[in-house]
Amino acid sequence: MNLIDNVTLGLQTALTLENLFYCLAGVTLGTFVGVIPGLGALAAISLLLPVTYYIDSTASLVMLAGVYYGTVYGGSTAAILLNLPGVPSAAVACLDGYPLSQQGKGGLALFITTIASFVGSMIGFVLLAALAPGISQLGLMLGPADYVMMMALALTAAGTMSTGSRVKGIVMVVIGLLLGTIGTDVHTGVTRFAFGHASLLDGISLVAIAMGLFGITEVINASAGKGAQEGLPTVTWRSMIPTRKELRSTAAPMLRGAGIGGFFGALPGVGGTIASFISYAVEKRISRHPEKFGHGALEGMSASESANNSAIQTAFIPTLTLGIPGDAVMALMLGALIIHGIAPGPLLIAQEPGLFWGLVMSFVVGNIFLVILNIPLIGVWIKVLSIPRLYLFPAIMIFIAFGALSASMNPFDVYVVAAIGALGWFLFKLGFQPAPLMLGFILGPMLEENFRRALVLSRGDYDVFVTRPVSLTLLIATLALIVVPIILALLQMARDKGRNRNVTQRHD
Amino acid sequence: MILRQNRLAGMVIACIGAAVLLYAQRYGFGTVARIGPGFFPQMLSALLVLLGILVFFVPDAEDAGGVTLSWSEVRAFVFSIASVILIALLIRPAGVIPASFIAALVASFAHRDATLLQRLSLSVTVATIAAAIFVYALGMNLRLFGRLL
Repeated sequence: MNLIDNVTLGLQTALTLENLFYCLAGVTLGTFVGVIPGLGALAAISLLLPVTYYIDSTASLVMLAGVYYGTVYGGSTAAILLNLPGVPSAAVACLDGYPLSQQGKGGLALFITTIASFVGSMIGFVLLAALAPGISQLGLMLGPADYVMMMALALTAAGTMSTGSRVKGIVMVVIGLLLGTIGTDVHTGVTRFAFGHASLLDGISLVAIAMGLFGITEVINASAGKGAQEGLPTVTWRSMIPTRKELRSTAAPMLRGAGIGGFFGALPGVGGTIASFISYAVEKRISRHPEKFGHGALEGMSASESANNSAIQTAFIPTLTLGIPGDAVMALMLGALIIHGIAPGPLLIAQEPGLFWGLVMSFVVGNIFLVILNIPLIGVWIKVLSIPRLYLFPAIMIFIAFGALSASMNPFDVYVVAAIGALGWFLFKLGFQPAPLMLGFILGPMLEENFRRALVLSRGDYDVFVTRPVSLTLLIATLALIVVPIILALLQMARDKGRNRNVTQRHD
Repeated sequence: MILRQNRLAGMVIACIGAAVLLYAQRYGFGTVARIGPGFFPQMLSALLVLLGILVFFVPDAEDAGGVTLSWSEVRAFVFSIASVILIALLIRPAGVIPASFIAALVASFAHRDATLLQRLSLSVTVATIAAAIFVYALGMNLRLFGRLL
């Protein structure tokens, strides 16, 4: 039947020697980068973007996606062994993983997080394969006005839900949108913000922005920080094997975590980090012994890792079915598609079934690779933690410069990388997070295009954004994202003021 | 005096927005039914000015602690950016191996604690790997040694 045909097609694509190779390369590199504190999926994917010019579109996506979920497996390793989250979403793994490691049960913690990651990924994978075709059918019924509002929602969510200040997140989105307007305007042929540079006629290259923002800025921040090189525990084979009781206690949390992660992962702007915190909190609340949480409880750790990985899988749903990425990593995935001349949107699954199903099936292959990489080969990754940063970061800088060069063979792009890197670092020092900018940059041209198309279709009537039910609903959701936190903050301020007054009165 | 982070951030953002808004005046705004090339940039930069003013008045996060710079950060920044720019400058005239050797050597100074021997061996390694990956494996059209050498 249809599903069987699709799965067969997907397996045929995912199991070609080429795609297997890029899948393995992606997950290996992902684990490697994930283990290193300070470098995450965004840096790794940015560094690999130029490579995708040399390989075909399916292999590119298989590899980049492998890097993404690979970093999550690797991220928990550093969290458990050193109490340093290798990637932000592994912060929860520190809470119980590090105490376990101090009790000499680091191996057990690594084993359980790997299994939880695998279970979460597989449940997320099922949700993705089951829901994506239907959602893309719905997507076909949406008009440009609906897409404008969907992008507005995604951008607002990315700006306001990211770590740090909400206003500052929105500022980064707007800067990204502005950077996206550089180059020739496709509607009128007018060149915008090129300042007479022929190299800017096609706009700033995605590769240059990604490498500057996530390569250079992250490396500078990470190299200024201190690495932990001493006191690495050794993990023996025997310490990894859980008892049957331990294994049984983690089964239900893993399933609950996968469900929570699967739900939040598909929403724009939320993603794995928030899903892992929520599922940890849920486990703590329903646990019969919440006092053990934070001192090496397996339940919270397995739930959060499962949620995290499940969220990664379902994050592909809006990206691949509607062409709306929910976070910066997904924006880069979309960018990789655009580099290969594939238009993201609801037609993607119908027009590129090999790409879609091949990518989806590669998630299964990649997660199996990851279990092998993370359980028998864990010793290798512990060694990675002891690579001196002195050797790593200059090599990454050179790789960034050559990568930018390889995309266009134009040294101008390398200067753009340096400039964007400097801008990113400067803004980071002022408390701005780089990720929302990426989303703005990718969605900017699409937003402008759909905005214009909606107004051409409505003959210049702004009502089109409020008369279509989908568009109106999304508009209300967007406004709610902006207004609700402000109201909550005002209420909080009023409450604090009231409390202060009570305190002062008591002093009188 | 330590400047509060959001005060400086707000001013910077508002100034960037104002500069873009002024520059974007040269692009036509168009009409609602036929939006011109200037519509989006002008709207966005105006929004940026407003957001900058907003940031200016938002109190700093508790952990922001003003705008502080440590020497190790500035050092990492300067040497890292310099190494990338050196690649762009040197790649054509000097070739892949000299350019990446020099750039890696410069980048290694982002870290203070290393012996000269460590820095040199690192730079030789990076130059070799760069040549292997980019010239041989990916087949980029670049010379190992440029004409100037």
